[in-house]
Amino acid sequence: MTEQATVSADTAVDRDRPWQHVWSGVSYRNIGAVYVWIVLIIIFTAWKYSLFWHVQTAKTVLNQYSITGLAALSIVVPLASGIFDLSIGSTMGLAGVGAGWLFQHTSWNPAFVFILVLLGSVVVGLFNSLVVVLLRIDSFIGTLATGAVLGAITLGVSGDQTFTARINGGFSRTASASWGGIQIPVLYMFVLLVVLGYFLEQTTSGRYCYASGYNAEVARLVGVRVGRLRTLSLVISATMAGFAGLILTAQIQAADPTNGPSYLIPAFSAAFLGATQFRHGRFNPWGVIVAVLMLGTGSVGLLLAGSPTWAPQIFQGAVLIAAVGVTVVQVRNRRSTA
Amino acid sequence: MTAVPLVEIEHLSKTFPGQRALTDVSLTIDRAEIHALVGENGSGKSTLIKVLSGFHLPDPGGRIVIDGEELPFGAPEASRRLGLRFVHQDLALIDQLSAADNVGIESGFRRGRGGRIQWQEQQEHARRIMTNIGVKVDVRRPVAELRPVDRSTIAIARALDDAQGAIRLLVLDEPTAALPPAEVDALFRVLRDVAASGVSILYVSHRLDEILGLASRVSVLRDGTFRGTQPAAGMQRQHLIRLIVGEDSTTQVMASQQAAKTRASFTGSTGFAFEGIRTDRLAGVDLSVGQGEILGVAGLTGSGREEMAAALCGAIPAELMLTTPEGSVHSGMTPRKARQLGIALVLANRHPSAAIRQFTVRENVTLPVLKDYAHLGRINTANERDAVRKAIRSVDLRPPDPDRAYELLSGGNKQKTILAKWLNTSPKLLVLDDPTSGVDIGARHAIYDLVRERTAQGVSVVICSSDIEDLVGVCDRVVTFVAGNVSGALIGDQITEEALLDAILRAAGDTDPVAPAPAAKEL
Repeated sequence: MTEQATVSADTAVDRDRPWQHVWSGVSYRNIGAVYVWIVLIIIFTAWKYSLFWHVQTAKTVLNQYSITGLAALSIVVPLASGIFDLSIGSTMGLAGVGAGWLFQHTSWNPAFVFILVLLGSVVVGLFNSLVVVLLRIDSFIGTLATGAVLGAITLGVSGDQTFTARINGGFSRTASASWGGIQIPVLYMFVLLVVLGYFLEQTTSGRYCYASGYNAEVARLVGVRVGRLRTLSLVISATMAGFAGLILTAQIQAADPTNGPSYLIPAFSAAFLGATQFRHGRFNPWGVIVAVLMLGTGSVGLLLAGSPTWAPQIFQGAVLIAAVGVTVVQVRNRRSTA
Repeated sequence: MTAVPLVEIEHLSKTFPGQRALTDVSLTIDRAEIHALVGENGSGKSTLIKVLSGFHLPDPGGRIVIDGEELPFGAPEASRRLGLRFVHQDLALIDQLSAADNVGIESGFRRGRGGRIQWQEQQEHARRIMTNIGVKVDVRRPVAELRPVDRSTIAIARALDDAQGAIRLLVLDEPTAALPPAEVDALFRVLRDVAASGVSILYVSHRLDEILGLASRVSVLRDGTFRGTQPAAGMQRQHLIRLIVGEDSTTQVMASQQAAKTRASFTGSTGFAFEGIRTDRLAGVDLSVGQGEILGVAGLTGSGREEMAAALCGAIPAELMLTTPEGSVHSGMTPRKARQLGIALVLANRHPSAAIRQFTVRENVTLPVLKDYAHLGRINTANERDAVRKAIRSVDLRPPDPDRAYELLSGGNKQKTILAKWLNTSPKLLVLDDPTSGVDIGARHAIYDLVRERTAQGVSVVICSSDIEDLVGVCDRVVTFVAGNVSGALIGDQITEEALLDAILRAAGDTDPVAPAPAAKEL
């Protein structure tokens, strides 16, 4: 593979380059999910034109999947740095229940509670880092374990009840404010998308994250403090998950221990599907959001079309396998022919 | 040798999207001969081998005949059935498994009732195929714990396992890339025995001395075209170089060799002095290199040579005391400290920690100095790209494209990228570890030239290498290692292949210098 590539480079690159760029930019391999998304829209429009082809559908997708988007964005930085954070679902749950408990048992100002819970999430991130970075336990196992511990704490704090006291006050406005039917969590999602995109692609720390994720030893040998970087990424994921948990609680106006963990699988699905988009296998926030919205469009479309409630889940699983599978096959073909 | 050759390759071409890798190649391999296939990276050797193994489908029109039977293309089973066997450079052994397991995985396990593996029989079988080629290894030990030469011979023994039909041609793709000289000799004895038993060998290597010593005939590929087959006996090295690189590049290689001869011998000042270097393999040795000096470190694998570069740069845990040219004293070393002191570790392009293969050339080159191109943490990509363009032009990377995927480069160009990455940090001490393994002859001399250029500016250089060619004619002084200790030092004209081998092998005969230490594999 390497040999022929060298030969071609000498002869072909300079002349063909501009077109190659454009072509590879819009190729299925690069933005497959976007094409799937377009095909989905066409199918649903043809199938249920009157129900689906409506601005309200777009708003529904955005509103319903903004929390999933926040959860998925939270794990992009750790994944880029080569570690899993499987505790984000539990962190979301703990953040929501923690806020609910504080509202129930104290008369503190909602803004103060909000900040307190975010600080608590930072502590969760540091706890993860203690296990993964300091004790050097594999992140997949380590955060699975910390997630279990956090889940237990959440259950203990909640005492198996749903907190609703004071949540519908000022706190719920952090999720319910809306413009023209688009709720504010959608804005959070896009803001964090831009911030993470900037961090990972434009800053030195972002580049070091990718370097550590791909080959931690290379990063260490050039003097990158890989441990610190991983601590940072675990704090980022925990804080963002805490934020997502708070917004989720504010949105449904109830703090229930079962709320957060259900976002773990969709978040990882979107992150892995997103990695196949735009950046040739790199975990990137843009791909994640395209994946979330594409999966959301399919699910909402199916429900609008009157499919049974289990249909969206099958759809999500199938799309994930198909999209990632096609990319894998294409990479394999590229290897054997070029 | 019979009149009809064993393998006849006729008019073989292979076109990849956008380029031709092979153009009308015809060559023959005789029965029971060791036939060398040489050429630069990108000359088409690998493509030819992959056509033989059924991995690549060639263009229509060509054909390959094995012992009178035409080889169906693109069918690995057919290649196997016709008696072709391949040992690739990475050996394709599973490190954690034993030799017996590795043999079983390739050719099937001996199984009894209910699919249970008959371990006794399996081990017997593995032992038998090892004995067939005159090798004795513990077939139950994980192969990671064995010497490199044993691993190579296990891979070869496995390829020669004739439980699945007679073997006619054994294809070896750079089997010596990971082997020190003495172990190469052991491997060659095995290969000669194999050839004597009637199996032909197609041998691919960058190491010309090896080829001239081993093969009976040499075929040369250049830019995907066949440049003839010649008998190896009596062939001059320079003549072979000319065949491989072509007239234009030959001049360049000659110039480089001339530059090496006329290089003012080192007389200069004190540079970096390391004392009491102690690792798993190194027993508290001293090593100092002057400013502008090129110091070679030689030794068999297991002598401590393989850990020296990593130890000097803090890549592996090591005890040491360092006195810098400025006179500051440091105890111990870490990669961060090495960066601050201007110590750069250039690893072999095949080393897993040499570069990030998923990154582009640009991202790899600027990784150590990324902060120089950033303001308040934000990378100025335009500045970065300009700097990289300059850096890769100075090492003559082809093509000089900063945004090319590192993974797609040839071995020589990968090595130049790694070198550019560290030269770009303006090092004061450049430590190179096997800097030319898997690098073709043109790139090899380009790398020597770049290193020499830097010494003129007072940069100290340490080359740790298992390749004699990196030491003879390149280094001002060579320190040799045996069993973790310095066994000798050669200066200037004393550095000859014979003298080096003598010093490396001294006292190595009676004790086994290779204590298995899997830790040495990864830094």
